[in-house]
Amino acid sequence: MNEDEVFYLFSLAVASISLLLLALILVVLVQYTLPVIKEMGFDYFITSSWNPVFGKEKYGILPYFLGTVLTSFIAVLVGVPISFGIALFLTEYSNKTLKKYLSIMIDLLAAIPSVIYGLWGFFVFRNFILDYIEKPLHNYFGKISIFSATPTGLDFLSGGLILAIMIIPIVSSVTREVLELVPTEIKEGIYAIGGNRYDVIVYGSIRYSKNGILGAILLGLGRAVGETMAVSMVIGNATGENALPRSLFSAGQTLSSLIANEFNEANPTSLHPNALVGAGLVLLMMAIVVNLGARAIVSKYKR
Amino acid sequence: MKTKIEIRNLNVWFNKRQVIYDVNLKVPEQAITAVIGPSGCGKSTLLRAINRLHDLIPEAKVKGEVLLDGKDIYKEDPLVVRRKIGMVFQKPVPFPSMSIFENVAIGVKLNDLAKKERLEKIVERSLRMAALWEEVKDILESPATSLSVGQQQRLTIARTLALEPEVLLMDEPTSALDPVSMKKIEELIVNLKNDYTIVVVTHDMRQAARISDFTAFMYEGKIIEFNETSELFRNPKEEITEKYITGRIS
Repeated sequence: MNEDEVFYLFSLAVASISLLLLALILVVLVQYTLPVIKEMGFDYFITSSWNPVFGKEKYGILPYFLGTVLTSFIAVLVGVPISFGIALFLTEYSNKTLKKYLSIMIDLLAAIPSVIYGLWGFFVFRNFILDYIEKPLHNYFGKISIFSATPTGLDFLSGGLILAIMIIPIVSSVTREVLELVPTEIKEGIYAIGGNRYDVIVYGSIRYSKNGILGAILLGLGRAVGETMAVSMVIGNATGENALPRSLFSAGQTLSSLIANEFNEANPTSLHPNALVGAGLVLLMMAIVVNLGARAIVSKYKR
Repeated sequence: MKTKIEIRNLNVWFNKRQVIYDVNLKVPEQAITAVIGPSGCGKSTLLRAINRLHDLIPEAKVKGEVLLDGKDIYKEDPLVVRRKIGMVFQKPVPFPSMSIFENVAIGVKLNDLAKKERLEKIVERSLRMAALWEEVKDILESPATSLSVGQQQRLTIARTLALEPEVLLMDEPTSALDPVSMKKIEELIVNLKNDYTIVVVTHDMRQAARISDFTAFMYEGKIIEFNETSELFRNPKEEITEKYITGRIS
């Protein structure tokens, strides 16, 4: 064997490991989940009771699934417009120096460990949300169900808003990349027919990059769906019926925060560990679907 | 012949590099003026200075005057200037996710120049003038990207004409096209000169000879010679012009 062949085999082996790992993880997740599905049936996916007490065991992950959907939705709803504004400013308005430094700063946001976001969220951000967003909304619109629960600052809204901040780096940097691919000919074409910068953005850049922007949003959604630490520190960690998202201001739980909170105390002889792994399986499926979708759109776009 | 555009002491820099040096040029009305010269001589830069496209590039600096009917376009609203002085680019790029109709109508819409009912008439007239109407009249709602490159170039001409400009600037409008499409565009340009003042930048000397009434020869950022086309090609006054048109420099 010459060195070329050795290297080929080595890299092939390493590359296969990643595939193998994914397959193995899937197999183990399914294997661990089956007992709880056998016991609970389809109710595991569509009910809300959660009781790990031996002998009274009941597991339903609907609230956590909904919690993941809701917090991710808030994250996209709030985070995407901000990211979009950042990307547009950097590509269409700012000068080169400002662009360079701002881009670095925004990318640095992605480097902050999520537990730091969680700490900041718990000690600082949630009080801000409580005093300036939740209390006013509750006082004036408390009759509307989504604002009805007594605000504590540890709830779905806080979880969603922390996520919104955390998805800004990925969404804004991918959006920036796709906006930079807009051909100069299109931009100049619109200027040449008497359009201004706004027209160029609306009729040129956004229309041309709409698939890429959609991909960026999905990548952000993927990040939001899987994020654990920061969310579990500010979402209030309710379980069972209480964790159903009835109000933005009620304490909740996501699939990932549930796992993070309970894995350590699950009794290995009960179905509790299986129920948690099942939550992980559902989470992994959601993440895979969103990420594959995003990648498909972005790669199709880049070609 | 009446002068439509007068360029006075025009200088253009990109960052510190000067690319246009003291250009003076009188572009006659309702005629085709060709600007020829080797690549990198500044002919596109000169053309883009005539409808203030350099405004968009932070590194570009323009000094001098460009008078349209005696008024300096650098003292007017650039959006109005670009409407009056249309530009057709080298590479035809239709606007994304827009039908053929929308591609032509968009300029009129952006500038709120016409109501909906008139829009259809404007689109038809512009497409007719661009010699594209017969080919697309039944597929106006199709995406513009479904057209061939030659048709797309006529479409970008139509979208420029829709604004009823006074001047048409064309930056190597046929260099991305096949010979048949090129011939069509050349015929179109010649037809358009009855209504418009046209400036065509081209690296193809034979094209300049075929279609233009006047020709300016540029070299290293300066206009070396400007004359009636037949005169410039038959009796070049400068040695360097002669060298260029006989193919000894390129």
